[in-house]
Amino acid sequence: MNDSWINDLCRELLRLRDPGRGWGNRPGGSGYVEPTALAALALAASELPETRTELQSAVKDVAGWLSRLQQSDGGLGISPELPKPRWTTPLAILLWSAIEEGSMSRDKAVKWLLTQRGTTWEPTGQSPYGHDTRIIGWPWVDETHSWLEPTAMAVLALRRCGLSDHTRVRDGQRLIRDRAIRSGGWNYGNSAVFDADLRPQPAPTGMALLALSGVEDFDSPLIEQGCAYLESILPTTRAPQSLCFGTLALAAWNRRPAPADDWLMAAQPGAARRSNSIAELAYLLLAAGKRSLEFLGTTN
Amino acid sequence: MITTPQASSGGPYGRPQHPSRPQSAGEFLPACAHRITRRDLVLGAGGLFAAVTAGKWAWNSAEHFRRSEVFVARAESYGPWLVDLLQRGLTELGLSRKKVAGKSVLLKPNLVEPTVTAPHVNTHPAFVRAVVEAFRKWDAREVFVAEGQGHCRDTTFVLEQSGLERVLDDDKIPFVDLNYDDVFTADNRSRFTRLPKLYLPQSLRRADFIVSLPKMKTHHWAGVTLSMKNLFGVMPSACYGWPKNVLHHAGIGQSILDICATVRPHLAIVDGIVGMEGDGPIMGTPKHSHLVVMGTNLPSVDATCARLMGFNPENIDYLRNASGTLGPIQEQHIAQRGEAIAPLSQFFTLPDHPHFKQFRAA
Repeated sequence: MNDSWINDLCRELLRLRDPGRGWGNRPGGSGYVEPTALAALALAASELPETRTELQSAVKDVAGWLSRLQQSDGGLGISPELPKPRWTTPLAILLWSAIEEGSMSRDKAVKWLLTQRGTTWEPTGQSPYGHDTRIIGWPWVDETHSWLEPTAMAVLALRRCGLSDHTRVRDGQRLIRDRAIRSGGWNYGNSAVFDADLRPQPAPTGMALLALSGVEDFDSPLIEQGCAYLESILPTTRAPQSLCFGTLALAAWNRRPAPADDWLMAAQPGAARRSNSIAELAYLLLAAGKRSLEFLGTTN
Repeated sequence: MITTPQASSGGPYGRPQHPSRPQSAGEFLPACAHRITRRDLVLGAGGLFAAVTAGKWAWNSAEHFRRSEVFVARAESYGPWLVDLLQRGLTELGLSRKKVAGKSVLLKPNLVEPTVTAPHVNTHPAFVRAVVEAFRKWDAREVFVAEGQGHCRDTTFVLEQSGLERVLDDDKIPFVDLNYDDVFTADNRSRFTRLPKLYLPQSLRRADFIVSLPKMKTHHWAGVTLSMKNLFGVMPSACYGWPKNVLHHAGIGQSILDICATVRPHLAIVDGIVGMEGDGPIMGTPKHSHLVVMGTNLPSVDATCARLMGFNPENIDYLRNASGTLGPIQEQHIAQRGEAIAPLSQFFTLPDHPHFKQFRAA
């Protein structure tokens, strides 16, 4: 990827931040955990020598803001004003893992994450759902069912912290396999309802493939179908989140499309115009980052 | 506990009450004209009890004397001609340029899934465009589109694949992602669920008119998904999840009622030009029903749509429970404007599975 483009994107994200606090959901807005952790992770992963000092300083500052928001049991909420739900915690773990000073906050958050469980139930009679409701993963909100994205993010965060062989990680990967759509790919976590296969989506498919990297065979049908779905859908979209997780996942499976850089650059003007420009620009930067796969707990 | 819902005197537009509506429940109580004895008191108490009981029965079966109006029109297809049809409907419902000029209008379409191949899943972009134009022609200060879809976290992908992004860009229509809006908490006004408070997006406070723009579809859990179920998409997923499992756990039907009672939308405009039948809300098949249904009372709009789809509203849980509390659903209590229902009613099919029989029970 063009270093000059990455450099410009880094500068734009830094410009949109108020020093001393995190990024908001929109420029000028009050700080929220998700865009903050995402933007800082993307900056950390960009690894540009000429801006390294400036980036490192901003990332440390932001990581410190997140540490101050961390609750006593280790979880993180949505924002300073919204302490729950706490699905943002895995993203903060990934950021704290990327810097030396983050270890205390990270370890506390990992302990909390390992205690979180989605609700399960024994199916009675013929279940309308296509998935196994008994597998334990991670929910979006306490006391609700497990879903694909919070489970995939938890698996990535725990693997990044060296817990690839932990039972919870194995169960999380089992859940991810179980939620795959028969025709290929993943969505938010409902593979089929009343026997009708639902439609896949690129961002969850990307997250699932990242979370399964290194534990599935390259030629497993699950991986082949998931990658094939991404290869068919990514040329049709300029949505940064989908491009980010889609291209990173294909890279993790040694199938990064040749035009991927062009897609990311073509997505930037639209991303910069939208009200949620911070997250959109952060996804594009993360997609292009030299150390992104490493910081997401995957390798190719 | 059910709190008293907003008064239904035709919504926020100050229209006269329906002519058949009594002035108050006190009309059912007997009058006393002579000196009162103990016997009088005993008989009077018994009579009073009977009268109050009868009055309560009359109150409930008459849907608390609530009345509303719904406008129904036939529309062959999507296109700029819809603007005149929509303005005609709004006029029939008591809106006018005078009431809209200078106001902020929030349009909440149904963008449940990102799909290019199944456009009948989402409110059609041309329909949204026409509604925007109808309000802009009446000099609304701003008209913006807002959505908090529950099945796909990537809002840009949803807008892009549904085709709405092109319309938003071409017509310079602002868009708010309600899933990531700043939030405020509101007391749950009706408490059909056990949720004491609801998180709501700040953009609701900006709007003078909150307009539900659903697609006319069947729904495998609720029976139908129309203007009231569409308001699930107002609830920020950052607080409720993708999907909004908190609300599913609390009860879909109950959540529909609580959200409507608390958000208090002003208007519904239903896209039934091409609806969905079968396994809705996402995997069903297109139904070319050629309908547009509008109203200021959402239970009435949904009940009318249910009839147009071949359903009895009494078989739809959330509608049955909305009856009287949030608005009238009985046909005799809804004044029909525009076209009559019977000639336009069509049978929306449901999957052949025992679960769906409940929506068609006799």
